[in-house]
Amino acid sequence: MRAALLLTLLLAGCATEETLTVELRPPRAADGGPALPIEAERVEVRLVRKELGECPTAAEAAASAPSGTLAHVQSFPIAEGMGRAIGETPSGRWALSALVRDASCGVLLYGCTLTRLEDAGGAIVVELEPVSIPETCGCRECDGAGACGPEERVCE
Amino acid sequence: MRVATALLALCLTAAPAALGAAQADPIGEAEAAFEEGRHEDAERLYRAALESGRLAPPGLARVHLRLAELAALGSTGAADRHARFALALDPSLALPETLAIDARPTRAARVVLEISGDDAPIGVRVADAPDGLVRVLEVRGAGFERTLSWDGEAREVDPPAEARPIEVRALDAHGNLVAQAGRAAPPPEPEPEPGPTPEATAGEDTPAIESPWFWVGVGLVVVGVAVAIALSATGTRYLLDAPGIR
Repeated sequence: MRAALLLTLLLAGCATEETLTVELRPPRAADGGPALPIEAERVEVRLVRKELGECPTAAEAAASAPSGTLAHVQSFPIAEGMGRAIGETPSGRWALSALVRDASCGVLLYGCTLTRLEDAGGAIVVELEPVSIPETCGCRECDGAGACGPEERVCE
Repeated sequence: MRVATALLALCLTAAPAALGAAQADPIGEAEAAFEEGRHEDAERLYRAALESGRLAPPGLARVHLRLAELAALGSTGAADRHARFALALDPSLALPETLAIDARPTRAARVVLEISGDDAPIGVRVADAPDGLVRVLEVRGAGFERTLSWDGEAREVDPPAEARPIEVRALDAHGNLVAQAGRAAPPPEPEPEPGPTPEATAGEDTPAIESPWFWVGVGLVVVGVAVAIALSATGTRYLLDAPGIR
């Protein structure tokens, strides 16, 4: 009985925690800094469980079309440069996508990275590429400042 | 014993301080905040629990009910929508007067499988779920996995015979479990090794509790449970930081 209790305590104490940074990388300017379109207003970040399949396309992500299980979504102003922490996420394979929107919710930049958290190596990097998708929020509504709401709604 | 104590200390030092926090009951904290009238805190905690994707009925029904009550108190969100979700998950829930809805469901939301043969496609649908509650159907069998979006129309899956039986889980937009049906086949059990049986060593008239094999079994069960509990708290937890433009 003592051995079982000790084993329990030993194993329970050995849980580890790994923080993964999330980097959104727009195209580079001549000076090496991020080159964001002047119309860019907000960034929408979407985290989708994807044990199978590929990243959603820019159009699918922009319209919040069903693609895996949506676990987290947030939108933050470009001017702030950083969103809020995504938080604890179960291990497994995930698609992390980011959309840079203008005020009318058109998509200017899009990127998506498929990663298995166990293999992420400390950081998840999403390379953003220019796209041109006119105003689209799917079944959500654009607030006129680049945010689609309700954020977490998935559009059928 | 010294070595064990040192190992224990080492592991506890290396373990994240958030271990206790991670195991805290988010609904319990939200309930406490709600009962104490801290409605903003309660709503934040209920939403965090909802967005965790780890809920299942009846906890999920409870969260939707509370969000409906908070919405009716003037918070953000749609009271009617949350109330309908709560009742679809648990039709026996008692609604406060502020949340009276027109039609109360008589049956809970559920997954229905239509199986016509061993090789025929399997029909999958969700019954008695209000629009928007179920978003995704996860289908799993032996070596078989599909994720289907749910738009209210019956779907079909055609797993190979060796992948059957299947299990289907209906999930909401956050990955919380709404309902499930079917059952995936368990992994094959290893062949039992030949060896002495308890009956062979214990006399026929010996009560089971006096047999040494009985206590060996009890010991194995205790150790197995301990290891299972411990393993559930081990491994790596991943914390995703705030996304930033670099």
